[in-house]
Amino acid sequence: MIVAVKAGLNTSVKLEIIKRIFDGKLVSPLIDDLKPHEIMLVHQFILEKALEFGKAVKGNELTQQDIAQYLNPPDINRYENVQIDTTNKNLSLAIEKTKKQIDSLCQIIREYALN
Amino acid sequence: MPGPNNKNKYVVLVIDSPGPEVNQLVKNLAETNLEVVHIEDGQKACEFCEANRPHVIITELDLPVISGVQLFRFLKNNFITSQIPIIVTTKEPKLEDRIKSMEMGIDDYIEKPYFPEEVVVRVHSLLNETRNTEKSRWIINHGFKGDLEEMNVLDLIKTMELSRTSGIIYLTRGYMEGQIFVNNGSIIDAFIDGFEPEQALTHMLTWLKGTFWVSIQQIERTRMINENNSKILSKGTRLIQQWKDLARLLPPLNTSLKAITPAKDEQISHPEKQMLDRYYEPKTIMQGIEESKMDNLHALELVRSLLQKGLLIKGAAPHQVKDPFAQIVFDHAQKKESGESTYNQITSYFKRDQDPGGLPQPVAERNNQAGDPHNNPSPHVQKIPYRVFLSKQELKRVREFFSKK
Amino acid sequence: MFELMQNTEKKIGEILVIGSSNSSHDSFLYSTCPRVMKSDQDIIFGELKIEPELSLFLYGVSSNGAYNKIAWDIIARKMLGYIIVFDWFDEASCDIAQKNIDFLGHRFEAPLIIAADIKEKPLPIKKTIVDPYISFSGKEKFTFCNSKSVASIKSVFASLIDVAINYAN
Repeated sequence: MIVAVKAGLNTSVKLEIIKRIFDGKLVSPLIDDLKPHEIMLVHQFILEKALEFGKAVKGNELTQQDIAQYLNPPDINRYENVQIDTTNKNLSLAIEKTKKQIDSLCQIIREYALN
Repeated sequence: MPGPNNKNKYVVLVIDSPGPEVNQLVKNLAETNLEVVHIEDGQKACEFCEANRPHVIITELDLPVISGVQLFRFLKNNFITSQIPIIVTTKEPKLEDRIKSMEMGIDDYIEKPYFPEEVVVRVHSLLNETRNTEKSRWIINHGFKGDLEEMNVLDLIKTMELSRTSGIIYLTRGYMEGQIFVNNGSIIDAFIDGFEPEQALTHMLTWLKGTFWVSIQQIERTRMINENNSKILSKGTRLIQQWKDLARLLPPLNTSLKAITPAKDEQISHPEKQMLDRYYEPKTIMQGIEESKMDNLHALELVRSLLQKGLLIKGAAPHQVKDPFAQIVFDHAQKKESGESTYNQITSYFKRDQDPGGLPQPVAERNNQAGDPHNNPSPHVQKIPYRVFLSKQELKRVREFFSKK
Repeated sequence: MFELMQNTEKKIGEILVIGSSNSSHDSFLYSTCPRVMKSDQDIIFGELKIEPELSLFLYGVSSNGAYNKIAWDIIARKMLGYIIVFDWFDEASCDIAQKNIDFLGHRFEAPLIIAADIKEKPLPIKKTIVDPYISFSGKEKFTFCNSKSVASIKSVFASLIDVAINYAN
């Protein structure tokens, strides 16, 4: 099935992510086939939710440090559209790092959100 | 607001067999300053509608000569009558009939026996709604509309010049809308939000894709464009030729492009940067140009320059990007024991069964420009805009209702 | 009489509730509308009288069966918004909901509430997180609901109205 990728993440994708998070499943396997800018959209969405839920639970007690450690996504944008093998290798590393961050952010969300 | 008979009254057509209920309804409607026409059979009603175009139709489903369903098909398939609001009255409607009526665009549904006062209220409610879209109604009554690919702006201007007609040419292309004002065949003004009149006119002369509505009417407007028609037409012809020459140097305009972030020391002009920004999300050449709201030719030149500099490259077409989530969903649906996948069921919506009478195609099909073999929605499907028909106060009262225990 | 009629115009809002055949979208109508009509094509319809001159028309559609016969483009023009209901604990139901979301999202700009039905089971997450909903975008919200609770169903409708209010005049 081939679907248009809009400026933001598809809503059905957001639902899948939320469901995986609340079901305790990893989100990272889902992003294996995504392009770098799509992975960034997923990362951005999960980060937003982590901040939102953190605020909802901790309110004003939420500190920058609670989330800051996850606020530096690798700059994988600059690897887009470059067709050199060595850079492809760097791209893979960048994606792996982002996946790990995504999983960590999901864990943070679970800590805040789950009963 | 004039009706077709120019007596400044709205015209309501009532189609039903005579009887005390209908007679009372006709009387009640006439008392509220409406011109009411009562016709008994569907065939004559069709002829009346085509010739006179009433503002509202109230009709029984069960009609002699031709049925209510046949009447609806005729009205909805007819360019002149397709926009007339219709109220259906009938005894004991089955839900299937009600839903079918909804599918065919019936605006309201009233069971018999009815209170004539209630019908009068509904009629005025529809007329109020109609007043808000009076412009389009007026155009359909006195003008014509079509596709710019079949008849471009120059053709439209020439047509009005030859017949020395006055009117307004409404144009739509992608996100943009514009108007050209013609008085006795001569262009006097042009409008696109944010543009000077002459700039707006130059812009619109190169719109080779889109739609037009020509409304024939008297124009009272100050002349803002001083060039005569022959100069305008000559300029238009030259611009179109320049556009075509430039377009030949580029990939097809439905090619998807993607922007590359320029190096820090790379010098690009401000307009080039503005154009480049359009393409950080992959889109076709034409989409980027339309979104930019720049003059077409200028925008196309910028695209050419950016392609030459390597700052724009061919990207994956939006509808060719694989979505892994969708693949999971699709695979799961394929495994279902029920047979045909749910996915196919949903997308087969686009292939609504054709009635012999030929109902209008759904909006999605009409706007499906790219089309793809999997019947996926085209990325260019025009979304149906959202319009709230209830006021904020009314919605707050609804909200209160749901908050009560 | 004409002026009196103008002051008493009846106003109608329409809401569509869509579910898979296994979901509980029916209860959204049956628990709120005094009278619900059911067709043999898996479409149900109910009228909710808010006030004498203000009603909501609710349509319940299963995404099996009649779904692909609906003239969505005609219906969409007057809709206040949509609610997609699915069974949170059923993967197939979730899959269908995702397809429905893609379908509607591509075509219509109306607000959407995605309601995950947990029936009478406890909420899987803290109430503060999802009260009243989790926002996916300005017009798209996610929430949990209990299709066996009238209060919960009303809360989902209320969420949709909240979004619609932002776009009303």
